[in-house]
Amino acid sequence: MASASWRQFKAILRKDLVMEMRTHEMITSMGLYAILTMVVYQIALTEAGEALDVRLVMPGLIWVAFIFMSLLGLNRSFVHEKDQGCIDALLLSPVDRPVIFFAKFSGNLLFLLAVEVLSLPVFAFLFLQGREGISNPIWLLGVVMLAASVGISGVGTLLATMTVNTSGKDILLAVVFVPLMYPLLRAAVGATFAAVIGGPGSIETFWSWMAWVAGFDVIMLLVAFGLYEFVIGA
Amino acid sequence: MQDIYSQVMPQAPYVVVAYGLIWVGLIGYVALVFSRLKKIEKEISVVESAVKRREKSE
Amino acid sequence: MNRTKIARLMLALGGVLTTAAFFMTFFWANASTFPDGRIDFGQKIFYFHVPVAEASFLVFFFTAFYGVKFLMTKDRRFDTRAKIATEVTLLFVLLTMATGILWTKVAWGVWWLWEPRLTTYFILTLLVIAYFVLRNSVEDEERRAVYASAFGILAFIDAPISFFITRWAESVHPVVLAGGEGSGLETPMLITFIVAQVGMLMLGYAFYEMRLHEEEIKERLEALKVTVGG
Repeated sequence: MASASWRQFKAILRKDLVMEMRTHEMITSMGLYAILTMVVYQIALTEAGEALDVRLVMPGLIWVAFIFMSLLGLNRSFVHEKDQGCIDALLLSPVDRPVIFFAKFSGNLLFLLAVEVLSLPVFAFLFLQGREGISNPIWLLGVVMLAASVGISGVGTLLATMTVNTSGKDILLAVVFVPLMYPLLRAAVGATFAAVIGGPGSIETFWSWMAWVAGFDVIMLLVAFGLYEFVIGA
Repeated sequence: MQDIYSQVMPQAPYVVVAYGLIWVGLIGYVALVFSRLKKIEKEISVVESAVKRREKSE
Repeated sequence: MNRTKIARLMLALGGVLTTAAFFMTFFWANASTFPDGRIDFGQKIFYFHVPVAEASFLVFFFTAFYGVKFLMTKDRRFDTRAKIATEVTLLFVLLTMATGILWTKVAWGVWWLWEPRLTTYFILTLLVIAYFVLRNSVEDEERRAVYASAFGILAFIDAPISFFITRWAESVHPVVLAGGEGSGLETPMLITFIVAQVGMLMLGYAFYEMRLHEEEIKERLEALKVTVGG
């Protein structure tokens, strides 16, 4: 039974990955979106000029980019399923509902992480040249990005499954998703800030914010997982 | 007394507005729900009498 | 005694208690003073701001509670209850926000501060509004009920966060009733507060029952109309 679920999980995930390999739609649209966001940041920061230490606002800026990027990706991922009747076929097939949740969640998580990893160097290239770099070891950034993206993808998968069936679609996804994500984003920005700015005690601050992120991840994933079965059948 | 007034007066408008909003909000909500209830109850009595009339004629 | 009668009784009692608390606030409860001895008249807002805020958390709990019940039973009556609970929550949340903003202006000199309690409560307001936006954009009734229940449960997670945040994080929002140094109230103040709190909870219950009664008659009316029309 377990191995059957595992095979189903791999099949659904592979379907998403193969489709992405062929069309490159997710990565290009999310990546371009990230770059466009940075152009807008340039406009926002331009008058502040050299007076502003970009590192102070960087944690916030990258998470703004990531959250809106994830909205775009989540919405795309389910619009495909719905337009091509994929989700109906999945529901008819003898696949366990939890498997569908974890497969879609993993796919969304992979795309989000890929674009995050690609866009972070671009951000550094555009905004951080000639400035101090990241004070604490860079793998700490990896830890926040991974942990927070798990929460974003988990709740996002549940919510996007709902909003794709509504008349609002992407607008509605933003309306329900962003406020729900507030505690996670706040903690992620706190942890990122501690990692970027550094200083004495920053490692402790980092891990105490990470405890919030982890706690939120656990609660939200459990709830989202529990609710998915009801939502996808409706 | 003069002293108390001079301390209370600058803050009074905010307190007055706060309590005003609370009363308007609570009473307004009750009034709204009651007026809707009345309307529906009227409607239901009309429909009910229509049902009765029809049952008689049948 | 049926539910409607209890609701009317609660409405009357809640009205009497809140009115009494209103007069007690201004004529009986001790004036709060600043450390320098001046009178803190703005503190009077506390007697209604906090009860309505606590009531909003409590009523919002029923959104999640009936959401769970709906998902377990698929009985549409529970979805109606969750919807009504959220509606009462919205009323209370807006009143909390309005009084809170006025108090913030009196006490801190600004209308708004991005402070943990205010921020999380603002998020709660957005979630309650989002609940109705979500409901309005789903056509199918069964589906609307499922989605609203799921979202109500998720949204409720912010309520305990907002409630306890003043204890967890560095917050300038006062924690009057937590015990400990500098907190606590003198007896007349505490009694006034409790009367207002009990009255507000009764009002919340009465509002909920009144709205439920309205929805039930509405359904009966629809059913009757079908009999007449068909």
